[in-house]
Amino acid sequence: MDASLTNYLLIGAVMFVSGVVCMATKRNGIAVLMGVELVLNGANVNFVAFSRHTSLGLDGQIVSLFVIVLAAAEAAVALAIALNFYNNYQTIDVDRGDKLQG
Amino acid sequence: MFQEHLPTLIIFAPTIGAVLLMLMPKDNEEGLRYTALTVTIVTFILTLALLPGFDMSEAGMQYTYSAEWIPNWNINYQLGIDGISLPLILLTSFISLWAMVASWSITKQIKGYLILFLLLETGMLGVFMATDFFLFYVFWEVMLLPMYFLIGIWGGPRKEYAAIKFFLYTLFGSVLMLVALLMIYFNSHHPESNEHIFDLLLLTDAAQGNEGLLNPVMQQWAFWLLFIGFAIKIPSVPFHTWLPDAHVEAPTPISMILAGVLLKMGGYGILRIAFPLCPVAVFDGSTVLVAIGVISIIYGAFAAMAQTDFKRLVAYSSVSHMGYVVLGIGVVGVVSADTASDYWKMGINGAMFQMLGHGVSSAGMFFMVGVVYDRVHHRNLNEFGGLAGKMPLYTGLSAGIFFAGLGLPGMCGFIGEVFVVLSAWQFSKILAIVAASGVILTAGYILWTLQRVYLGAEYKGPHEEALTPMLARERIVAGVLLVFAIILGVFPNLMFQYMIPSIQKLTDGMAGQMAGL
Amino acid sequence: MLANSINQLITDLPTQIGSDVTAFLSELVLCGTVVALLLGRLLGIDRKMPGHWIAMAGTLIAFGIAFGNVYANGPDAYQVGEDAQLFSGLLVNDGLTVFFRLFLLVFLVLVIALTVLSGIPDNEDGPDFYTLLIGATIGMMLMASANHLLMLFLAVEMASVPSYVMVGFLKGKRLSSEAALKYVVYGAGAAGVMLYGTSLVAGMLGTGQLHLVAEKLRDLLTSEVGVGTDMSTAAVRTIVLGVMMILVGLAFKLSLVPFHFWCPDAFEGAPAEVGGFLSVASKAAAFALLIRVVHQLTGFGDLAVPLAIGLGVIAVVSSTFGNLAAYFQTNVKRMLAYSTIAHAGYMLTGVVAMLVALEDGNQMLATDCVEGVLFYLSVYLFMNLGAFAIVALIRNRTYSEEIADYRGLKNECPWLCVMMAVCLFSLVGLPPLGGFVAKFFVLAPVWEAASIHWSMGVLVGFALLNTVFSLFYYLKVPVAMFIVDRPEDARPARTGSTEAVFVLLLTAPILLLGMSPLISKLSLAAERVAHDTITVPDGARTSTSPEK
Repeated sequence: MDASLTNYLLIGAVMFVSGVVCMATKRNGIAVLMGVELVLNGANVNFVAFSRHTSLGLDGQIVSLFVIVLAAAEAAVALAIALNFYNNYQTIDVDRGDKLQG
Repeated sequence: MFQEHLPTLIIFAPTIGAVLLMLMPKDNEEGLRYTALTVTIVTFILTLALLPGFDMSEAGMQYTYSAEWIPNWNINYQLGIDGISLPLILLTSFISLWAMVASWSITKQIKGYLILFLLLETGMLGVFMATDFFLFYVFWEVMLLPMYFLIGIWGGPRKEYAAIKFFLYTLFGSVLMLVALLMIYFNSHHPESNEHIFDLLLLTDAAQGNEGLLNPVMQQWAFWLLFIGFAIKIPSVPFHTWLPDAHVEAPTPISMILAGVLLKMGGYGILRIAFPLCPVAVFDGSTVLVAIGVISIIYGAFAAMAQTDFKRLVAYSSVSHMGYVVLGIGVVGVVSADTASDYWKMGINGAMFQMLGHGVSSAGMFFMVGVVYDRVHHRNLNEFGGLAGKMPLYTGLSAGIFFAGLGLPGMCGFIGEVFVVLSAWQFSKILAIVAASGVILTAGYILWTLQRVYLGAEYKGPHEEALTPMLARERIVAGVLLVFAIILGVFPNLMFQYMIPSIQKLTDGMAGQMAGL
Repeated sequence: MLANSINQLITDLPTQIGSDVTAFLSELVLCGTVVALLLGRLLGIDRKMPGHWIAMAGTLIAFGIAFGNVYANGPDAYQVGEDAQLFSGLLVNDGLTVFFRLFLLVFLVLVIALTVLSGIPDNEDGPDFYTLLIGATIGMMLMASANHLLMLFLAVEMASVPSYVMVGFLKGKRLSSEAALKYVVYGAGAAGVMLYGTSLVAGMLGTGQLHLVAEKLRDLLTSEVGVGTDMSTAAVRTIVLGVMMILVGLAFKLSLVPFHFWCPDAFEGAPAEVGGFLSVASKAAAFALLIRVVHQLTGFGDLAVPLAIGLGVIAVVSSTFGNLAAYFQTNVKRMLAYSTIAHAGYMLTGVVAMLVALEDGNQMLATDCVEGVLFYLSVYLFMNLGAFAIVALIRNRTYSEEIADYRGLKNECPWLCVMMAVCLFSLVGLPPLGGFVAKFFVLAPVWEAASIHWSMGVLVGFALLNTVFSLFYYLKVPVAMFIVDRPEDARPARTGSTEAVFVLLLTAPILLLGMSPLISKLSLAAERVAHDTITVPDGARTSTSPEK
């Protein structure tokens, strides 16, 4: 049983890390948002795995349901903002947004 | 009833005046000026009203008033006046009054100027009357903002630099004071409820009791933090560098207030807070204090001699004169566990009197500089001369006031210097001799200045035609200040009678902790 | 297991739902307002009446409910411990919740009033904007009352997602869209990291509820009792990693270094009203959440002090960096953004001292620390909103937010300039303004905590040093307004009396909270709330606390 938990956690971790790498390195705004989705879903995998193998019980699965809904809402908002950015800059390349020095 | 609220009324009378001014239209210049003048006159009269009810034989706090402000932190709105603060309160309202008369020379944005001036007066009066450490700190800082704007908006060519230098220096000192405040607060205990307190009277009692308030190491830290904070205000070498710039760039009335009142707060703060709460550190540090005082005297005098800017010279003379204050309070000595040496008491009395005398004379000196600057718009000492011929009354009054600053016997400057030097003689003969030689240097630069500016055959600078005789208002200010300089010099006991009992209580109280050392 | 849970839910539901909903009424009213705004758009009401009336009405009703609850019930307005839990332990309705609910509702009323005065948003976009604003506020109220790790994440997201949109609200402005994109990318990333950390913590400990997490953590670290996974140092390491990730998410919300990058850009791109809203409300809610989370982490044992020192270093670096970077800014909003970063650092110092105090078992000191933070947040509300409001009003006249365009403004709108000076000097922390009292109330307990651990004294020293540094840049605006003369080609900038009165309404509390007995009233209320949060009665903890 423990081995299975570790495997699932590993998958979750791989998804998390690839999501973070995606967010950090991709220039295309949509790809960055894909990275965000990967991270959130990595966490979801964790939750469901813990729900099965530990005393977390149903809480884990309920949480992942909520997270799916929330990820969808966030993605919708993020895409709307990306669209707005495209309307203003005619590109979705995040590096091209350099008017602000921050 | 009236007696009880008199201190509060004195502190906030200028604030009420400021609010009144805020509501008046800004175009009514004469109305604004006269209203502000009336407010300062009323404040002065109220401070005079303190005198009849003041018991000169009583050493402790009188006119005490206490109201809860932030009860769960034991912060109270607590006021009190004793022999140390009363002369300074009188000095504050007196100098503020004459600085207000001198403010007629300010011509732009009069409403803002007068409002800031009155708020500054509130802060100054509050500092001298507060007996709660937190309240003291708040009033201390209240002075910073109006002063910054008064220098920064109405000042001379380098006003922004001078204003920010003043602000930063003083804020830095205040922050050090805040650390000491925290140290003292968290080590204090209310005698009954055992909570931490800010009440200076209770803290003083605790500090002078058997175990003292802080342990010796903490006392050293607290004392030196407080001393640096106050020394910046005095100003003592090496924390004096903000003063020449601030004085030179500030407009004349603000220079009068700065030199006349603000500088006294450093000395007051040391006597009110640093000394009573950290007696052991004072005893150990007395040599350093005396040394700082003597260095200030000599350095200030030499620096003054080297100046070519009239106002800068007077500024350095202030540094030099305030060195006597530090010297006077630093000559620590104890006889027994409940008596301090007489020479120390004489030193502190001399220091206090020097503060009063310097307040009057330096305000006068700055005013006189301002009178001629308003006319010819320069202060270069090498380009003056022959003013005696063109403005004889001005020369006469100036000579009188500068002699008061010099310390001519018969004038206010002499008393303070003599007492301080005599007390220093008992403490350390060499330093007393050095301090006395400061008098010679002072005489040197002041007489030389008088010669360069007033004597001589002809005026060597620009705008010769602007050297008109003094206006009525200028004559009044100069005349009154000179008269008071003479009165204080001839009848010093007018002020000493108030000071002596409280200073005795201060020093004897500190002796207890020091006797074992 | 499933059947049992459902059975329990069905039997508990009728009894609980009544009291839970009553306690949650303010948030529900705000939800209703959001629905009304959206329906209004559907039914065409937005063409007849601007959206802000509905928004204001809803907010005032919610505020009335919350205030009436406190006014009528006094100390019984909330419960403590077990009794305070709502919705089967997802939310908790204790003192902190009630405090922040009132705080956020007052703030929301003031922000809506500001938007009415300053004209952003316009009528067409009004309902959308107010929907987002109110939605974010609901999220923040949930943040303040979260008791479950899921709720933590959901509330943070609910507060953040509308603010992403609000930052980019001025669609045509290029800077806004860039700022919004950067904000959403950073924000979503941080939220993802936080969620992953949540998954690790909840999974390893087998529960999501914060107090149970604390209990199980304590058990794990002090005894040798396993909780459903292998008992090994790997478990502890994972949990520590999870907690770090949760703190990363919170640090992002609080714009602490090194997660502050979004802050200056978002504030510069967003309209000043939104900047004011974000700088206060999201910080306040995040601090409420941080206090709750950190309070529960006292089960950390030996790890608590390194955690405290780590947070302390972040606090110092945030304050110092914020103050130093602010000096080089020429845009007022950007400068205020860096000042926000610095102030988050100051307030974090209070939370760090709370952790140290709790670790030492000194609950009185921990209460004082939390009281200081709550007081500081209250004063900060008025200082920051006042500053941003004035920026907004001046922007409407001069179309600029550069400090250079504030030169000589005293001739045009003297009252606004004076009040801007009051707000900025209060941010520095000068008496007799509220900012000084707030800093004092935060730093004094930290100094007292120095007797427990010397590093707290260093924190106070840095905070005071930063106060002096910050003077340099806060002075830039008053110097420009009062000391420098107005350039010849500047636009006229007279402002009306309604605006002056509104700003006076915002600045008067700064003066009152610096000088009047109001200080003690607020301080006592904060102390009360802090006390009830820190010293949870024993009934709520089902296991014994470690002996200290």
